[in-house]
Formats: sequence, structure tokens, C-alpha cells
Amino acid sequence: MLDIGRIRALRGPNIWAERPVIEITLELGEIPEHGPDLLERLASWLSSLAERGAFLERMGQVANLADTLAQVALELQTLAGSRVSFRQTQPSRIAGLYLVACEYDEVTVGLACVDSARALLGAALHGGAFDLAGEIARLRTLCQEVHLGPSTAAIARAARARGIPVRRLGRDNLLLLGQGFHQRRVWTAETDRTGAIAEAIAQDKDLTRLLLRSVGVPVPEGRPVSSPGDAWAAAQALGLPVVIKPRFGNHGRGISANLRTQESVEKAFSAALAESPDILCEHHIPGSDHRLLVVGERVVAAALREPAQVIGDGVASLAELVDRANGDPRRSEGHATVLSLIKLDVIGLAVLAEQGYTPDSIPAAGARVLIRNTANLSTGGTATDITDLVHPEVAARVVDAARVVGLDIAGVDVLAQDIGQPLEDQGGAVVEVNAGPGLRMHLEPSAGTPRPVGEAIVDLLFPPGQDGCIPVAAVTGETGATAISGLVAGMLRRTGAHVGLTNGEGRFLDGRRVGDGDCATPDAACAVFLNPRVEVAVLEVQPGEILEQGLGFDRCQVAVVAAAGGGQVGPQGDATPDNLTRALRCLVGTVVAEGAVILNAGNPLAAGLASHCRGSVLWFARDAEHPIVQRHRAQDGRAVVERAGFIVLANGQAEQRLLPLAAVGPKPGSGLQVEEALAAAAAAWALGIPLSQIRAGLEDSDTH
Amino acid sequence: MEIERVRSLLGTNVWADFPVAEVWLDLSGIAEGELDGLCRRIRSRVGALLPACRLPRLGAGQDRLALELWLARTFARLTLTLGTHLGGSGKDFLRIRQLGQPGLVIVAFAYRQELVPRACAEAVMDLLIAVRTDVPFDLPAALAELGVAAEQARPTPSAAALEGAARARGIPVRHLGSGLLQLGHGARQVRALNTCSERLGVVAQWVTGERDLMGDLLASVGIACTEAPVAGPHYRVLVAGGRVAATIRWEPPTGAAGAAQVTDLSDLVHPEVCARALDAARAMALDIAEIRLVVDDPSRPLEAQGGRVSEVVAGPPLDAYLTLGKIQSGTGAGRPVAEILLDALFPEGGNGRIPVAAVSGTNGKTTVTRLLSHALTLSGRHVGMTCTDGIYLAGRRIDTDDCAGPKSARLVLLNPQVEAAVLETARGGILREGLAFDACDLAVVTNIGEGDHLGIGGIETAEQLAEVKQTVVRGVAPWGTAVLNAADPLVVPMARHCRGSVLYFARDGRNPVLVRHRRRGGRVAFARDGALILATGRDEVASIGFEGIPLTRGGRTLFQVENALACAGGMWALGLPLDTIRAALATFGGDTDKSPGRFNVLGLNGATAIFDYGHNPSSLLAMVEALGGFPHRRRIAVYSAAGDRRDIDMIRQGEILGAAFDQVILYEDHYVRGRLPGEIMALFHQGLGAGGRVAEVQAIHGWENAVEAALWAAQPGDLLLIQADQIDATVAFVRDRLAADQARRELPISQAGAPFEHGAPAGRVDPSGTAS
Repeated sequence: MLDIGRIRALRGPNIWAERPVIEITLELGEIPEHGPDLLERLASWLSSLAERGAFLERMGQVANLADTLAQVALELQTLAGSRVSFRQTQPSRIAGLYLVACEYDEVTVGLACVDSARALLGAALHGGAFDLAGEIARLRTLCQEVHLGPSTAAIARAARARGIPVRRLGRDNLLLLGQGFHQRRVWTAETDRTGAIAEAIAQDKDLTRLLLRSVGVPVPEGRPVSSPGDAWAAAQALGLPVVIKPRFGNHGRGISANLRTQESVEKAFSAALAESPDILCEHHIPGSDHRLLVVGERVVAAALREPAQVIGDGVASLAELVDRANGDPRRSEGHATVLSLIKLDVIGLAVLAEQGYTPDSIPAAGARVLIRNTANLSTGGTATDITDLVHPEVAARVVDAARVVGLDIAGVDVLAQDIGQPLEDQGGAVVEVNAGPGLRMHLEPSAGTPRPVGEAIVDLLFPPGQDGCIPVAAVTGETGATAISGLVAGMLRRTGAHVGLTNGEGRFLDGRRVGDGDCATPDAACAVFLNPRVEVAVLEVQPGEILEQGLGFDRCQVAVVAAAGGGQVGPQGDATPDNLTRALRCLVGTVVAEGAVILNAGNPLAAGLASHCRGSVLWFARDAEHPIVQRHRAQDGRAVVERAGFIVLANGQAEQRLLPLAAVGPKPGSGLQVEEALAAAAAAWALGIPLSQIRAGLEDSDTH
Repeated sequence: MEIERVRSLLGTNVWADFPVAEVWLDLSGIAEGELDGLCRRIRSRVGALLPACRLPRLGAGQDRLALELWLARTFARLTLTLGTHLGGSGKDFLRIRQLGQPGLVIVAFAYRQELVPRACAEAVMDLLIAVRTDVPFDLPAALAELGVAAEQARPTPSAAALEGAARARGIPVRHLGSGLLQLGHGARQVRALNTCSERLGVVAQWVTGERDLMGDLLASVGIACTEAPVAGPHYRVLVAGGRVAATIRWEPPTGAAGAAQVTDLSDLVHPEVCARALDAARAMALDIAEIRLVVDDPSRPLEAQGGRVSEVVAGPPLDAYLTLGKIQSGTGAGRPVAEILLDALFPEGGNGRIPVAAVSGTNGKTTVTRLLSHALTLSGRHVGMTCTDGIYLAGRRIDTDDCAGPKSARLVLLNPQVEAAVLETARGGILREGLAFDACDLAVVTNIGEGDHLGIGGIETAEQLAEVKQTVVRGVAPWGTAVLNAADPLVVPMARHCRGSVLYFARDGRNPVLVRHRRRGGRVAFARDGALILATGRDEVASIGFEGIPLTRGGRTLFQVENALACAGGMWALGLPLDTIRAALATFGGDTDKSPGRFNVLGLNGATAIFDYGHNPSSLLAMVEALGGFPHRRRIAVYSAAGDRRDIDMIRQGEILGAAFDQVILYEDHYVRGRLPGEIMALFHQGLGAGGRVAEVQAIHGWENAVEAALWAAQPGDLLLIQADQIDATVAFVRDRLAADQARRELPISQAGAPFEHGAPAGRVDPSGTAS
């Protein structure tokens, strides 16, 4: 009962969906169909965490126990922090054996949730105990460990929404967007154009100030100081009040602002020394702390950042005021909610002491009491979106600041009384330029409008209209696919393109072998897309691999289904004609609307595939009078046939001889089959390769 | 006996065309009777401590000046000897100059950052003081300390090689700190950090440390990786800008003190191996990288023998490559790895330079700077301009201080948006730091005349001033041009110091210097028959009527005619098309918005007010000459002078004012610069008395009061000269007054009189004034 026979993660697209799914064979055995009491028990456990009505509505739609498992697995993934919604269940031909597909986002989270769902369902069925809260906590932790960070996740979502292929490289936040020659890499809010030198400059606040000044960005006057005495000398020369800060460093560590006395300057010097051996003294710029996000040549978001603080009412103590503030449901431990808790810890107490308070003090009504000096969200600070208020002159200066440092994406910190006025008029200044800025405050501001900053970054990497995809020709077929893919790759190379090819014989780049063994796999396809030289890919696809792993791409220009029979489409159990059809449909379904599927008129499965293609259909057949070909041509369709010893391209009723079959090399009659030559010619024609190069490719057919 | 200051003159400077360190020694604290004995003690003790240092001969019975000179020479020799101990020998250059101030001597020697000149000078001073006070001096300890400082200041071998290659190609180099190099100027600059280029991505750099990811990326181009980095012997391929710069076999050091063994295999490596190294760099998105290979035989393809990549290093150190070939060939010429890296940094080629114009002279330099900037802007460039009024970037003023120094100039050249720079170059900055650049395309010297700011910084005469300003002419690149005033006898000789060509300008086309230059086929600019003429030898290539040059007021403002000539010559020398030159001259006015404080004319309720910043005898004379073009009956001057002028300059200005104006309102405020209150006024009064025209003299404290008084005194038809120290503030002040006056006149008659009565006392000043 509830025995999981086989479980495998399929990438998307696959025979179930375009999205990645976990596929489970589930042995239900003698378990009766579930009744309302099971549902009620599940609801009583899960609805404490999920909204009860919605949960019951979703659960009400499940068809059977297998489906229930899938839905519970989805619920658990959602509670853990994944965004998933797809599930499907299908009985197999064996009674009591079900196939279940359930979407996943991160495979380890998905598998863990399936496991938990099975245990949970078992406990619900048999009346056992289950520590759901503990389980959810464990899954959440797992999810946080393996999931993309919030900034990267926003970029990944934005890219997917624009149809740009997204692949995570490794276990960190490195994303591959697009394919091959068009690929871009992005790592949190840093791209492949974010220079290492620019990042180093941004970390050096003294050098940053010099560069900013060179382009006329207002900056505070200041200089490096070597001792407490030197710091005080600098402070007097600059004019009080001043700021003491480490020359290198970030996140506000070691910074003391608004210093007016020799004692405080010298003390601040020692405090900064704990962070960095190099210390700066700068003129203090009064005003609020604004973070402006520059992406390319634009300010795409701006936030007013305020440190954790409470406002007195003349009655409550500071400890009570902090408790009251933490009662806000938007505040919680960590990053789960928009705001973090305000903590009266060692630092908080020190900040209170600076203002002459203790936790028991009762500040006057309306008095603003800081609990932190720096405006980080993670220490209880708030971020209010003010994008629409930024004066265009301020935005222009901030973009200049990012550009002169050399950053394509930057978080620029601006101190100003009024962000709606030019900085020069009010003595405002840019005080810091940050590489790899956090996006959370713009994605989920504590007040104001969330900004589509992930979208802005994707737009920077891929100008509108570009999806980062390279043309792909996919070839499948029980026989001939390897030969056809080699032929098509050879023709493409003749057009001057850098061609990546994977097939049963290996992986090739411009004819040079770069991978051994059977490479008609999704992994090999991914390796092709990872290669930054590849401008067009030709990929052999085996139906069995589609069933087992899914596809390595989500769209192609041309799909060739060469020959097809039943037979070997994978390990036992999968090898049903049904599954074969589903696998081929999955492939054909990836052909784009402007693309074409190349089908063999002699293939009995082919007719059923044509209707699954969004693009056009090209038939090939040795028999020029094949009824399917005739019918297709009558509707102005295209076909490639053999007629009178020639390969002939037919477009509607028009025909053009491509070349005599006898010219197809290298060893006529021995190696290449006629069908393979026809299929390759059809694919090449559909790809728009000039006929001369198609001919040459067929005549010299031993290229990869 | 102490070091008064140490200066590093990094650009072309008054001493030399290369960087020079200046140490100012103050020997005034040594008593008259002590000096001779001290010198002798130093000679004997230092001789014993540092036998390698050859001290100058010390004759008997020397006077104080000679002894000070001997001490300075000894100081210099010692400093250079310490430098030699630090492993460097600077250029063989040493100069000593005694200033007018007693006991003050300047020692100048070639500057090299890694020879820590300041620390060396301080160590030598410590040594001399030890001798003077007769205490022991721990020389080895001092040398060790200097050694540490030198080590910190020394650039890495890679950075030094790159800098050397850049300089050899004529690319200007600036150290920005933290090892960062600015190669080139403005929009053509690139940055380099050791061997990392700007194109090195932070993501790509990170990936080199992630072996799994690196393995995937290299597998995508068909290259296998080892499990872990290989520590033993292997091969290293240096890749830069899509080329293989060198290939070496590398063996780890043997023993504790051994060095790595490096063998050059660049000529033996198989092209397929090179191709794979380039593939690896490309897959890792690195433009400069070292690919470390584990392979039996690099003269055969990797695939056949299972060759693998052990590591990929972004921005690799060049140390191992820099010795290549030098040992084998014995000629000292190694593989040009730094040069190939430079090609990768400058894929478009070129020397990283943008057009740079420097303008110097006593008067007119700000106007010339502005007009040149205006012309370059018209030619479509993003112009960075520095002048006494501030810094302008594409017309946006980002600084309002006096910015005619090298700091501001360097700031503009650091700006990656700037496509052309026009830099007013005042003498103070030349003395302090040298020029901000190593070579410029254009240097203009408007005039020296009678000089300005004489008596400051050891510059006592106009001749000495000319020598300082001549530095900008020495800074002209071989491909550049110096535009020189043929009518100024102190400017003409500067031509001898110009590496590039010379263009002379003069109002009078018959000027002998100009005529001689034309005869030799040189380029000139002059005025003739109401037109500005540009000529190469006999060929007159352009004639632009002065009626089309508003700056010159139809050719009547003679000093502006000279400025226009200098500018036209400069634009021409920069290669601007004649149409652009014509347009620039036609659209540049003397209006206050473009050129605050430079002979700006403002209508003033029937009177005419002229604003000018000029504050020395030459500029005042030029101004008076210009006023000849105005028909006004009565002339009023509002005038001040800063306290740092010589007495005779103040008296002279008084004379000129007294001869040319009917009423003179003198004022002084906080610009007294070390003079007693009223002292300046007294000097002016002395000169004014000699002038024949002046009938009324007032002395007023504060410029606002002075201007207010002048506005109060001005009648329709009068000519008012306002010499403005704070240009912007003065113009704004007058405009406010005019606006208030306008508003008052628009009020109903019944109220119009009231503000007049209230307002008058503020502006009206007791003629007895505050000066006594």
C-alpha cells in the first residue's frame, strides 16, 4: 500500500507537461478509495498552515488516492516555499498501479516533499501521528538551502516569462540564460558584464569618490585618515559634523555618522579600525538614506530606507514599544516576511545608550528612537518604494555614478533631504555604489509599489524581441537519426555557422569531436547550449530518453521524425506504443510556430503527430505519389520526394530537382539510405539553408 | 634644520620632462657659528657610515650660502644613495636651487614611487640630526624600514611590465591606488588591475574557483579537467585577447629557497593545443587567462594523449613569463607578453589619448579656455574643461572653485565620458605638481606681459614666471602644437622648448617674429583690415571678419582680438574644420552666462557696466585699452586687489586707474592675504595720486557695499567698470539690484519713493570710508 515503485525527475518539457515533474509509479494495492474522513483529517493537519477553504477546494478535485498524494506533495512544496501547481494521475494497465506526475521547482525539495506526502498520507489513512509542523520546518530549511535566492529567483521568473531558457549552473545562484552564442550568465544581481575591477572599485570608497567626482556626481568631501588625531584634524578642515567609515567594507559596518566632537571622532576611528585598517573621514551629509537601483542606463527602482525605530507615545517603555512593533504580522524572524523583527540585542542597546535611553525609558510622545543606526532590512529596517519621486537630475547623476565605476547593475546610496530635488541644490550626495545589490527591498518593499526589477535586468541582458535562443534542429527516429543529424549539421556548417551536434556517435563542435559515446541525451544537448561558440544546434533525440529524462530544450525550429516503429524506446515497461507516441508528441510540440516538423509519409504514427505541431509540416517519401504527400501538396504544403532518380523539392504543385540520388555520397548504395537523404534535405530546406549548400552537404556526407 | 616639504611632480614640470621629487630644506635654524662645524662633522661621520656615498668637496672658509649649498648637495647624495640601497637607480638627475628666503634650499631629483622619496629624505634628515646632536644612528635599522616601505610601494612585476609596455606605446599611465592603473585619458582610457582587464567579469572570475562548474564549461568545448589542481610539473599557456602569448613548462621550486623552473615552449607547442587553450578561455568567458595543462607532450594534440586542464587562472601574474627568452637569448629581449596583453586591453589599437589642450599665460587664459571648449563642443565632443571658474563637463558646471590646477585637470582626464579636454593651467599647480599630463595636443600661451602674482613661491620676476609657464610648451607632444604670442618677448623664446610645431599669433601681421615664421612655412594667425587671418607660410587659408566675432565687439576690444587670434590658431592646430572655427567664433559672446567676469557688458538704466576679473597691471592696461572703444563721458571703477601682489604692482594699478577713470571706488574685504587692514588701500592711493584724471576716490569695506555705492553713483551715460573677485556673486548681486530697481519702477508712484529712502543708506557710504 502506497508503495512507490519507481520515482524519477523529468526535466521539462516531458510527456506530462512543459514544466519539470516528478514521475512516480504508485502501487495502491488493497487500499479502498478514500472517503471524506481522510480528507477531513488531512485538512485538519494541513489547513492550519494553508488556508482551509482553498485547501478543501483543491482537495475536492482529487480523483483518487494517487491524485491525493500528488496534491499533498504540491501542498507541501508550496508550504516549503516552492511555486508549483501542476499534477496529473493516470492509471496503468495493471490494476492498482498508478502513474503520478507532480510538478517540482527544485528536485531535492520535490523528492523530499513526495516522501513526506507519502508518510503523511499513510498516517492519515491509518490514524497514526504525524509531526507536520516539524516536517514543514525541515522542508522549509531544505528549500531555503537549495532554492535560488530571492534576487536570482526574480530574474529567473522574469526570463521565463519572456520565453528565455533558464538553467541553473551548479548549486549556487549562477544562471545560464539563453543558449550557446546568445547565452548570458547572471549571478544574483551581477551579470557576465559586471567587471571584477568595477566591483573592486566599488569596494574602495575613496577611489569611488574620486571617480564619481570626475563625472560631476556630488560626493561628500573627505580623505583617508591615519590616526585618531589625524581624523580630528581632517574633521576640522572639512567642517563638522563628519562621518568616520572604513575605506573598504559594506553593509554599514563600522560607520559612525554625524560626529561633532573630538571625543566622538576619535572613538569612531577606533570603532572603524575594527573593520578595516584604512579609515576615511568625510563631511556628514544630512538627509535620508535612499537606495537607487541602476540597471543599464536607467534607475529602475528607488527605496527610502529607514533603520529600525519606534515612536514614543509618552506612556510605553521602549521595550514595550519594540514588542508592539514586532506584533506587526509583517515582521518575523529571518526573510520569510516583508519585514524582520526589531531586536533589542547588544547592538540595539548600544544604539539606545547613544541616545541616552535604556529599554525601560519612556520616550516622549512623538519622539523617534532609533534601535539601529543602519537601514538594513535584516535588522528590522524598512524600505519604502519612492521610485516615482526621484528627480530626473538625481537619476542622471546616479546612472553616471554606476557607469563611471563600471557597473551595469548597481545599488547607489544617496543621502538627500528631498529625492525629488536635484542633489546640487540641497547639498545631497552619493555616498556609496554597491555591486550585486539586493533586490528584495524593491521586490517586496515594506510600503509602496513593488517594482519589476527582475524584468529590468532581463531586459538589460536581452533587448526586447530577443529570447536568447539559437536555432535548433532535433532529429529522432529508430534508425537514420544519427546519419540525418550529421548531414544537417554538415549543411549548416557550410553556411559559415558554428554548429553544435549531438547524436549517437558523440558530441561535435564544427566537426571536431568534443564528447564521446552516445550523446543523443538531454545532458549532451545542455552541453551544446553551454558552449558560447555554438550558433546553431543539431540534436538527435531518442524517444526512450524523452520518457526517462524529458527534453533538453523547450523549443526547436525543425523536428525530424525519421523512421519509427514500436520496439526499443527505453527500458522495459516504458516500451508501449502509447508511450512512444507521447514521447514523439512531446518533441513535435516543441516546434515553434515559424518552424516545421519533418515527417515520413511511410510512418504509420506520423499522421497522428502532424496535428500536434504548431508549425508547418514537411513530408518526405520515396513514393512521390504517396496519398499523404499528394493531399498535403494539394493544400499548398511542402514535401521532399524521390522522382526519376532525383531528390525533388515540392512546394504545392511546383517541383524542383535538388540533385540526382546517385550524387549523394560518399558510397552510394552502401551507407546512406535514400530516406535519410530525403529527410536531411527536407530539414535543411525548412531551416532555410541555400540549396547549393544542401546539395554540397549531400554530396559530401561524412561530416558531423 | 628640517624638511619644510616634500613634493612629487609627476607630470612634465619645471625641472624635467619626467617625474621629479622636490625636497625643501629649511636650514635657517642652524646658527651662523654652527654651520661650518656641522658640515665637517657630517662629512667625517657619514663618510664612515656610508663609504659608498661620495660626498662633495668641502673647502675652507666658505660663506653661509656656500655651506648651505654643500649641505643640500650632501643631503641629495645621501638620499640617492639610500635609493640605490633599495635596489633602484633613478635617472642621473639632480638639481639644487636656493630660494630668496634665507636658509631655504630645494633639492630636486628623479622620482620613482618604489624608491619612497619622502621616506628616504626623512631618513637622511634623521641621520643628519643624529650627527648634529651627536647621538648614534642605526643605519641598518633605517635601511630595513625603508626596504619595507619600498616593497609596499613597488608595483608587482606584472603591473610594472604592463606600465612599461604602455609607456613605450605612448599610452599615458596613472596609478589610481590599490594597484589600479588608468591607461589612457577620458573616453579612450582603459583600466587594468595587475593583468585583469575591465572585461574580466566578476562571475567568470568566481567560476575559475568552482571546479564542478569549470568542468561543465570546459566539457562543453570538449576539454577534460583533472580532479584537482596539479601541483607538480605542468604546462602553462598564457592567453590574451584571443591569442596565445606564450607557453611554458613549469616545475615547482625545489627546496625551501628554490625558484620555480620555467622553460619556454612557445615555439614548440602544437597549434591544436593553442586552439584548445583559446577555447577554454572563451568557454570561461575570460579575455586574459592562464590555462594550466597536464599533458605528456604539448607538441602533440591533447586529445590523442588524454591531456587535461588542471587550472584556469583569471588575470594571471606574468612573473614566470617576463624572464622568458632573456636568459636563453642573452640579449635581454624577452617574449613580448606585456605587449600582447596590452593589445588585449586596447583591442582597437591606439594610444588611449583624447585631444588635450592646455592654456596658460597671464591674461585671457580663461576666455581662451572657454572658447576652445566651446569650439570642441561644437565639433560634437563631450568636452571636459577646467578653469579659474570651475570644472565644466559638457557645459555642466560641477565645481565653482578655482580649478586651474593639475588636480582638476587629472579629474577631467579620469572621466570616461570626456572626449576632449581643455585645461587652463595656472602657474601654482605647475610649481606644486607639474602638469596633469605627459603630453598635450595643444598648448596656448596668451601672454606674460608684466606678469602677475609676482613675489610668491620664489617667482620674483616676469622672466621667472615665463620659465614656469613655458612648462606647458614643453608638455606639447611631438605631434602637437604650441600657439604662442609673437608680440610678447617673454613668450616667443618658448618656441625653442616645443617638441611639436609652433603657431604664432599677433594683432599685427607685420610682427617680425610672425613674418619670419611665415617665411619658413610656419602657421600664423593675425588681424588685418578688420578680419582674422589664418595662414600657412604664404597661403592664407581663412579670413574671418571681426564683425562676425562678437567677443571682439567688432574688433574694437583689442585684447579680445588677441584672445580670438589665439583661439582660432588653437582650433586650427587641433584640426577643427574651418567651418567649425568660424561658427565657434561667431557664437561665443562676452555675455555673463558663458564667461562670467571676463569683460562682460551689462546695460544699467542708461549706464553701461563692465565686469572683469582682471587684477594685475597687464590686464588693467588691456582693459583700459578696450574702454577706448566706448564713447562714455564719465568713467567709474570699482576695484580691489588681493594682498598677495607686490607693492609695486599695487602702486602701478593705482596709477593706471588714476589715469583712466574719473571716480575710483576701492574696496578690500577678506582677501587681504597677510597684509594689514588698509595697507593695500594706502598703496593704491599712492599710485592714484600719480594718475592725472581721477577726481574722486572712495575706500569702502566689503565688495557689496562698493558695488552698491557705484550703482548709486552711476548716471545715465556713465561707464562703470566692476572688477569682481567673486564673479558669480557679483553678477548675481548686480542683477538682483537691477531687478529690484525694475520692480520699484513698476510700483504705483505713491509707493515708488519709499524703498529708495530705506534702501539708500545700505548702499550709501560715508565718503570718508573705512580706510584710513
